[in-house]
Amino acid sequence: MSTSRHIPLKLWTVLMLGFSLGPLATIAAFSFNQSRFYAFPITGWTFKWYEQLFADSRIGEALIDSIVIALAVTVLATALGTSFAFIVARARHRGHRIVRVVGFLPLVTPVLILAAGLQVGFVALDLPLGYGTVILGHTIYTTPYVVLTVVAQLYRYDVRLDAAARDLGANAAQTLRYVTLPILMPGIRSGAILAFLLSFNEWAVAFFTGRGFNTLPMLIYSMQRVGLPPTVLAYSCLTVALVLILVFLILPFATRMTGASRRT
Amino acid sequence: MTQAAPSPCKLEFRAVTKRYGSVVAVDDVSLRVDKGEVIALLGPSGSGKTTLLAMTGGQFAPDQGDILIDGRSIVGLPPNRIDAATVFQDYALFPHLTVAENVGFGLYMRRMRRDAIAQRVAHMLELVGLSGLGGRKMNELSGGQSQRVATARALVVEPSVLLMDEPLSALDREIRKRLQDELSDLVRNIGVTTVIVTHDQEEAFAMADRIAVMCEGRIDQVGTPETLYRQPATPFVATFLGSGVLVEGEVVETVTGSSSVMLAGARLLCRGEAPAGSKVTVLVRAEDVILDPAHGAGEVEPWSEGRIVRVVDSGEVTRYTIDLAGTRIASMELGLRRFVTGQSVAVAVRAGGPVIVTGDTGA
Repeated sequence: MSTSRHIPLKLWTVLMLGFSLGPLATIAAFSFNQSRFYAFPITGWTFKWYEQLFADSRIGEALIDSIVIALAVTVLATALGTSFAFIVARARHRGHRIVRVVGFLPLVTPVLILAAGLQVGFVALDLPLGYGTVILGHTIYTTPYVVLTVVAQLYRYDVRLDAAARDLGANAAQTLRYVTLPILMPGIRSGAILAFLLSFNEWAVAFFTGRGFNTLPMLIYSMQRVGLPPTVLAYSCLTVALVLILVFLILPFATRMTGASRRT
Repeated sequence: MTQAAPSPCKLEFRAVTKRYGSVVAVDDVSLRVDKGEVIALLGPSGSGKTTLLAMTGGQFAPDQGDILIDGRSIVGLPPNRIDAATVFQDYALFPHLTVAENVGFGLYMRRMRRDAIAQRVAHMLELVGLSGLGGRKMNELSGGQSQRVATARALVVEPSVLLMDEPLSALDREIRKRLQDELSDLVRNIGVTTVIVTHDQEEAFAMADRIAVMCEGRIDQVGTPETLYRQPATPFVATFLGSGVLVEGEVVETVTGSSSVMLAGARLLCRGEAPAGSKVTVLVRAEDVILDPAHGAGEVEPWSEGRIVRVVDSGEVTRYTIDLAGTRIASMELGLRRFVTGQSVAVAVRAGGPVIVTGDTGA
């Protein structure tokens, strides 16, 4: 086949990559820039913004809060999302379509609306705003993403594997533990990583439903209200790096899924 | 077999019925399988044989009737409490486990000690010819190897009854023939009572002691391969097994065990009894029809004169369709073709071949 036909395609790919990676590259470049003013050319390379970022004691506290919240949300959303995925994929009771639509609403609701709604809801329920409400809010926000990754795998799950396990003497709990869940694990793991990332980076829900502490995104938001210090850029770079690492953990699974769907 | 001896019956179906909506999948099936016996449920797809097998494994319960293993009802028990193990169609091997972990799964669920599991798994892998492949993953196995893993996984738990659902249907012809013999020897050496579901007559004949032919949810006939072939009880059994043609005829006279029947305008002696003057259906098997009997060997009985309508030569056998006074019959003989289309030929049958299938045979 002629390679000339691939040239427009390659060009298009490069443009797309440039379009999506350009802003990130700019932020990365300025986070290492000597000058605190965002103007080319770069005046010199330095790590001082990163040093300042880590020297700020508020960063450490916010980081711990963010991680604790994200871990709690990961556990809750993964457990809830996986169970809900079974209902979505398997249940055939009356009204299961309505259950699905309601369950997926947080996916399509604008996050600010969701955040404001959650605040109103929590206050109406007399729940004191704090750690718990942020965890609850983030769980509601991230669970549908877990459901999506697990459901995708559950739809191609061969239920005869469960029948085979039962036939060989496994009870229902053993079947779930030794057959169903291990086979679904790539999907569950991706969902868990996604839930962690979404919660770790989320600002609106935390801002509306959290009181008395700052998560990292909340802190950064408060820092940039009086101009955007390069420390915020340094923070952004570190976050993107974290996301990239986690994405590479999901990637093998994601490519396997798309590869499999092409074959069927 | 003395009637007073205690029944060695291992598996029994008592008037089992299963419906899906208005469709009757299994219709009032009764069957007894003796200890150590290998029985095949043979029938076309949709005949209810897999449904019957799945109910025996406890995947769902019959609507009516009872299924007993060792004299105890298993209806309503969960699959893990039933002393039967299944080799699933397409095997249903666990993709996340190795060969050894797949085979040892049932023992692990029974909380057996690990060294005991390893020992029994190794022994079972040796029996099915997979020694040394215990560490392989499922996607590294050939079709034949996967089949062996599935069989080993079911046999290792030492079930009272082994259930095999189309065990060889996914395999190539050559490996299928080899595994037919291997599996057949294996289950007999172990002595496990075995039920094989298949739509393949050759598989059933090669592996089973007895065959239950199923059609539309019912068992038409149960018997040894020879009985089914020589003495089919229904027109369905007659045509489903082997190749042959059912011909309508009128009985001229009957003597003990055989009848003279007017078939396609000529008299022919058939096995079976029926009152003179009654209409009967006669099965004439293709291999019993001998063309140009001067060339035929053995004891033959002349029938009539026919015309060759079609010839299909497949190398080792040649199949003819012959028009016999308006009735089409089939003939099959070893070797290359001897006649051409349109040729007239004398038709005879092997003595004792044709058999009356319906009518008052009194059997």
